[in-house]
Amino acid sequence: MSDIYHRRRRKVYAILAFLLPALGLYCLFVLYPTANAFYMSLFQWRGVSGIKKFVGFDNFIELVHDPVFFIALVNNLKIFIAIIIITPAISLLLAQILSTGTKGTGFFRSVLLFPNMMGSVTIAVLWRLIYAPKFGILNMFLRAVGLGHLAHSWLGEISTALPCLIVIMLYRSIGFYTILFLGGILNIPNEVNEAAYLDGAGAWKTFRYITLPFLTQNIVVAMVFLIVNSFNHIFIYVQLITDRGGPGRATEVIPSYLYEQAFEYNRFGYGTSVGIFMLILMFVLSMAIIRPLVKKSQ
Amino acid sequence: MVKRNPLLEGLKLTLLILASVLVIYPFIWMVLNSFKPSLEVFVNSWWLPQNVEWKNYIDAWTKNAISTGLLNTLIIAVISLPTVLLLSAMATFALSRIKFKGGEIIFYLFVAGNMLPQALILIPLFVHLNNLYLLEIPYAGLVIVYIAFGFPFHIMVQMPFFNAIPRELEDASYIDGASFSVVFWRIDLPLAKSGVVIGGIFQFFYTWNEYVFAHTTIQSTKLRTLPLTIADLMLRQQQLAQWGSIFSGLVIAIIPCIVIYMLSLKQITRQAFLGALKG
Repeated sequence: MSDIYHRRRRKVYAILAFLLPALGLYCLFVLYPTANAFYMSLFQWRGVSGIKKFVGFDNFIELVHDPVFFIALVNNLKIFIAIIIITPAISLLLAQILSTGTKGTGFFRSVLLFPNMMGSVTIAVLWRLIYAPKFGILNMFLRAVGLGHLAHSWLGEISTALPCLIVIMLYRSIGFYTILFLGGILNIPNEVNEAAYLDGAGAWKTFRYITLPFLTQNIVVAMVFLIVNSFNHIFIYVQLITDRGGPGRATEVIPSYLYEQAFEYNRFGYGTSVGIFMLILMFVLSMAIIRPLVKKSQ
Repeated sequence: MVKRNPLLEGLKLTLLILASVLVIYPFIWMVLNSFKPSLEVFVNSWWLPQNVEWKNYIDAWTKNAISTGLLNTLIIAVISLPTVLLLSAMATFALSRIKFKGGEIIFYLFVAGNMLPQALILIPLFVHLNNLYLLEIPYAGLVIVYIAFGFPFHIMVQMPFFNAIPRELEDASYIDGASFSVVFWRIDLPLAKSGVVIGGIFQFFYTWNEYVFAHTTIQSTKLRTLPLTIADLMLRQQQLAQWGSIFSGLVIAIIPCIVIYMLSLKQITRQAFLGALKG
């Protein structure tokens, strides 16, 4: 009896000792600020030392009528749609090619994954230089192949600035998703592919009816990352490459608008309400995209 | 499956080579330009330097504060990286090996953190750190942030590795009267090591490159981390126009990443994707 009691007490102590440091820090510095964001979005608040005034949902009402926020939202959705379609398409193609065991697979794998390790700041600075009008390699290349008339200030013009940022996001992420999908493809039992082959299924049919269904789990993981990153990664690129949303508001996105409102205009309450809107938007997008995928796989 | 169409094989190889060149050439371009005098960057941008300018590296290292940034980042990494790995492993051990009510909910609470939008937390976190006077102690704010925001990722990555450890191994020790901490240090942690190491590799890249939190919490120039130094160097170029030295700054910053990447290539490509994510 007392033995069981002792063991139980020991177990409780162990749980506390092992779990509490992580859980405590996590609650204090991640969960608490997140919960606090909801509260802060109900106030009009100018900066850390300013006066807090309760305004209810006024921030959100202002948000709905804010034309700049609308621009940021549309830009962000454009980025989201582009990368959620293009990234898996290219990555699946590359993974499919790598999975057939072409020569040098290991080499290609390590090269493709490399940009993922370089980090956003390095990539941002590097690509800013690539797009640079005078010595950037993009314009250099166009002039060299006789397309000099296409060379222009890529980041300085409204029509090309946003697509340029999308290209950077693809550059960084495609290798990662290729490796992710490659893992899934290599996990498909050989017999399944052989059976399909014996039944006379061509390359496309095998891909459509065997590879894709087997990859559902990996695709769900990829979609989660892609949704989060179309709101997280883009922030740094906008800050560092297009000088906070320029030219004009051509590359303004939700996180950069949030940052501007909070840290440049000291509108902490309004900035947080932008963030809450973003959180809800991400949740809705995740549900809309992931639920059908999960349902299909069942 | 044996029959191979040579035309198709050629096409595949071409595609792969094209993709690799697109990925790797910007990087080579960066290294080449880091050796050129600033003026040469404009006239001879995309090929080998005509005059090698070592001064770029000296300028980047001393004048442009790359050395300070490197040191600051190193200090933060050395404190936060082992801490977050150890605390995550301990929490994962508790959640995976000591079954208790509510454990699953806590696990999902941690994992949900992977989906938080960074920008949303920025404002309340800044206020919170400021209220706790953590922004005034050098490094403290960022160290804590990198630890606390690392848990969701590490617990998610480590979990399958802890789950895969056979119970019998632990039971034998418990019957011999071993305590939980002995089992953790002697049995579980060594067996789940590869999960911890993979997480550690990613945490290194994260710490080395993190910009948003650093930008928000660091006010003093002396405490700037490497990504901030690089970004600052870039943004000041309009006046400085030392184009060669910004390329060399980038090269210096990226060298540790390349070394770690080369050393850990097998771990990353094999384990992280074939093992962890598939559960």
